Amino acid sequence: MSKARNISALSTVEVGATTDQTKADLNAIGVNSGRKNMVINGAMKVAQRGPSFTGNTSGNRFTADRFKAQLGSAGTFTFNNSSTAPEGFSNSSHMNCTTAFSVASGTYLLFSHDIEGSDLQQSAYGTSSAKQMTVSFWCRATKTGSLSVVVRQPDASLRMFSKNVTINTANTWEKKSVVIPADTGGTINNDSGSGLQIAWWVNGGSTYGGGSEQTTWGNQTHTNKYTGTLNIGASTADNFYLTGVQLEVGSVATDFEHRSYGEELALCQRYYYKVLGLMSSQSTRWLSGYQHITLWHPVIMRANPTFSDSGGSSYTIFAEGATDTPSGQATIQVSSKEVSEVYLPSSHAQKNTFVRFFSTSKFYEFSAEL
Amino acid sequence: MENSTAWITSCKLQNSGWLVNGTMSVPNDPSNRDCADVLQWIAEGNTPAPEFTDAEIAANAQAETNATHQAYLDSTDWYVTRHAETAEAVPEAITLARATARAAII
Repeated sequence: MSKARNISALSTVEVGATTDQTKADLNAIGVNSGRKNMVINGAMKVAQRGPSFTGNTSGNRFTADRFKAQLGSAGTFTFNNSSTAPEGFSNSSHMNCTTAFSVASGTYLLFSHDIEGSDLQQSAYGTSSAKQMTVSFWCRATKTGSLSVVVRQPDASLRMFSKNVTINTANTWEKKSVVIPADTGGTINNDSGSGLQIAWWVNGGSTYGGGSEQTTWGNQTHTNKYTGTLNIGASTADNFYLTGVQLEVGSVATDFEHRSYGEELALCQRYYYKVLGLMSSQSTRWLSGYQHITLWHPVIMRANPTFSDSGGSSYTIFAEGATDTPSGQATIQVSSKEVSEVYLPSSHAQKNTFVRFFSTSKFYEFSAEL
Repeated sequence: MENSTAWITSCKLQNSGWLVNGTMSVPNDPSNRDCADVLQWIAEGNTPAPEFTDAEIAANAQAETNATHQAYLDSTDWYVTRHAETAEAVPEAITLARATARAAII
C-alpha cells in the first residue's frame, strides 16, 4: 500500500468530487495546508468597533473586524459580536431583528467580507491554471431555510457566482461549505484593492431576488443574489449567526485554521485600528492654535487611512505644569500608510507638550477598509 | 453593496483631502474606500465647501498676528525688568515697537 493510500485511510472527512484523490485526502487531514485560510478574522475574535450596535435601520456595521453587516432600509436590527459560538470557537457575528419588516424591492440584509487581491493570487483566476476554491463557515438561525452565498470579483466588473445553503435545524450550529468554481475568465488584480467579496444574503427584495442560483461565474445579475428562503427579519424572533469562515484553494473544506488573537489583531489593523482609552503622546505647537501629534500606525495600512475623532474633550494637553483642553475635534494634516499627523485645536502657547486621553471611552480611529 | 454616497451629509476641503460629516478626515487616496465615495459624491454634482470661511480665515490671520506680537513682547520683557531693577532706560525704539505689538494683539 502506498503512503497516499495510508493517509487516505486516516482521513475522516468525506472527500468531495475531485480527480485527485490523494491530494483531496491530504487536504482533508490538513497536510501541506500551511497558511490555507485567506479569510482574516474568520473566527470573529477581533471586534475593535463593537461589540454591539443597536437600532440599525440601514447602513453598514462591522460586527467583527473585516466582517460587515449590511442593511438596506428594512426593519430594525441589533448587530453585534456574540459569544454564542459552536464548539471550538468563542465568537460569532450576529444579527437580531428587533422590528420586523415586509420586504420592499430594494431591501437587503447580509454579512460580507472583502479579501485583498494580493492575498488571492494562489487562485490563479484569469489564467488557464485557475483553481477551485472552497468557502466554509458555521451558521445558526432561529429558523430553517436557505441563505445565498454570493461571491463577486470587483476587478472583473463584479463578475458573480451564487449558491444557496440550507439551514436544516433551527437554533443549531451547522457547518456549511460551498465549492467555488475555477474562473479562467475572471480577474483578480495583484494589488491592495478588493479582489474577492463573499456575502451571506439572508434576505432581499425583488431587486436582488427572484432569479436563480448562479452556479457558474458570469456577469453580475442582481436578481440572482438572494434566491433563498431564510428571510431573516420577517419576525422579531429572527436571529442569524456566522463564524468559522474559511476560504481555501481546492474543493474540500478542511478544518478551520485557528490563529492567535494577537496575530489576527495585527492582520485586522492593516484595515482598521482604534486608539482607545489611555493614549499618551508627545505633541508640539505648530501654528498658533494647534498642537501637532505624530502617530505611527501599528502596522502598515492597506491605504492612506480615514481618521475620525470620537469627539468630546476627554483629553488634556500638559506643558510645564499647566494643562489645557483642546477646543475642538482633532483632524489629520498629513496621512500615509505608515504615519499620520494629527492636529489638535488648542490655544496652548507652550511648544513642547504631551497629550493624554483621560476617558476610557475616548478614541481615535484609522480606517483603510476595503 | 457598491459605493454609496448616502452617508455623506457634509463635506469640505481639508489639507490634501476632505473633512466629511464634521468628524472624518478623508485622504485624497482613491484606494481609500471613503475617498472613492467622496469622489463619487463630487461626480454626482456636489461641491465640497471651502476649507475655511472668510471669518475663519480672518480669525486664523489674527491668531497668527497675536502669536507673533506676543512672542516679540516676551523676547523684550527683559528690557522692562532691567529698567525696574536698575533704572536703565528702555531704548526708545523698543518702547515704540512694544506699544505697536500691544496694539496689534486683539
